[in-house]
Amino acid sequence: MEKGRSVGSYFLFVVREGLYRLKTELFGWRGFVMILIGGYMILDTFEGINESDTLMFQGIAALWVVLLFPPRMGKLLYLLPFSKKERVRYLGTYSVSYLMFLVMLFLLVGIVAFFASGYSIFLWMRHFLLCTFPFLMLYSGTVIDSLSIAVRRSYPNSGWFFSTRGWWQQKPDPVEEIREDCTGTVNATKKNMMSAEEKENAKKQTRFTICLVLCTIIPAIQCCVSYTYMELCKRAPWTLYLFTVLAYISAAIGLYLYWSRISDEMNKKGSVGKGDDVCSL
Amino acid sequence: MSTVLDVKIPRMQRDGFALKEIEFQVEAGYLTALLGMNGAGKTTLLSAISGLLPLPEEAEVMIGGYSLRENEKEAKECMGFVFDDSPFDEGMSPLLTGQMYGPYYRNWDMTKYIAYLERFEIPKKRAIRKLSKGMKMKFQLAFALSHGATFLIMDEPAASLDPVFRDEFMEVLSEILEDEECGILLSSQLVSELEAKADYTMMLYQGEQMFFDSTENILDKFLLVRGRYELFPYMKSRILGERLSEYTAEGLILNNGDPVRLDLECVRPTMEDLMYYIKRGVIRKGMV
Repeated sequence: MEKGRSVGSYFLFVVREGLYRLKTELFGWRGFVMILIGGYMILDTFEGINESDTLMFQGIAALWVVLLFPPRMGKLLYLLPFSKKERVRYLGTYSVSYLMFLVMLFLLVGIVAFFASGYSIFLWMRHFLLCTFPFLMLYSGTVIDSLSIAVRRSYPNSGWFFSTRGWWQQKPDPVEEIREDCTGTVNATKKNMMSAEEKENAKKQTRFTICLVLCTIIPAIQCCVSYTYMELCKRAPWTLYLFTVLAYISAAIGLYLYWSRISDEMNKKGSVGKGDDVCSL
Repeated sequence: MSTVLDVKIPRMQRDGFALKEIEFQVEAGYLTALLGMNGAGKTTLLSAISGLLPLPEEAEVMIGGYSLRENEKEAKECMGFVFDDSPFDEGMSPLLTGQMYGPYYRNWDMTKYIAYLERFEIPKKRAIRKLSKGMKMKFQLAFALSHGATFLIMDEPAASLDPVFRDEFMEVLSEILEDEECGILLSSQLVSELEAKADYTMMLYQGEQMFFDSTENILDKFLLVRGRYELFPYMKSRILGERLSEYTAEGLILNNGDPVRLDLECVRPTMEDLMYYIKRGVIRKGMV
């Protein structure tokens, strides 16, 4: 009889889950797209040899990979028997492993490219660290955020990555839809009915979103237009390093923002409401 | 008889919607139905109980004797879940799901899990997304029962099942309850079916608990009188609310043992009737 083990072997869990993902997702349509991306990245290195050290497709591939491998788990995170501390530890491990998984995918392609085209692995890694990694780093924040908070806030509504199923398969909750239809009539006055705490939360959320967008812009641009960058940087190399530093700083701030929001959410108590300032249906 | 769920939520607000004065218990060996119209707050309440929504300071949810706030881990060990919208990764097979997530439970029993999968005739290695709706429900049930859950929370489990599968599913639930070790809280829109099977009923309306009692007690509390409209004025003082059609009328009265006119037909109301009168404002909180 296989008895349950204590929660503590997060690393093993994640390795197991990672292997499972590799097996199932790489053998599906995502795998096919991944082969196309990988193939193109390798071809790109052939191009890169002629163009000195420019790799056009690596950054775009990063975006694709991020979109192809959304984080999973969703509601289950709150249904499984985790204490608050364990949940946070689990999220941390999951995100780091997720990032490792993406980086390893890239490195794998880099190594194949190195053997196939003879492109310098050093230059390939340099490009990766200068242009692509800050964006991937920021993405690990999105992973924990979507696993821990978004599912809670959007539940039972569906969102982007937030379900255990893909967003493309999501069906909106009919009950919630009806409720939303009903609330539509009072939405206009809803803002006035919000308590001071709720208004403050809404403002906080807006500030968070603005800061995060600002923090994402630089690494995303760095990642997407690295080809143009490289061209530019041939003439003024310091611009590349300057933007790389900025991208890393932005990614670090972005991660900090995510983490502070997660800590807040984990310690959050539900709202009780005051007096009759509620809209009941 | 032990209490497997004890809920006290004086007030809880979420996105402009509020749950108010919720207080009920689920006993081991009994099926408690959570009923209410669309938008009554059933899913919000179940989300709060299952930990998907944070509880306010004043609220207390005890699962298997453990506080969901202070001993979340222990409380969740006692709770099994069956949702219409399965929380598991649908790309995984039931077997892999058990291997992957089961060991997080202290009392997880893989042998028992496989036995349940076989008993429910669920293909062990087929992806969950390829299972039929009924099989998905049974798979979740197998998972819940294999970690020794003493409390099962079910959100619309039978909503999209065909009548045959629904009966089969309810039979399985009856078997689970026979052992008197597990209590079930089940929310559903299938009021008439639940009425016959639920031992207790909790009715929500506009986020408020209208009543919570044994189903028999609730239904015995009222009577429906039917007959010609001209006869109704004689009973005016007793009629709480009425439903009129072209030729006949129907009125709801309290069943307090007083005799009813012989020329009026007198029947026990169904839960659906009670929901109608709740919606009309005839049945108010505290009447049951």
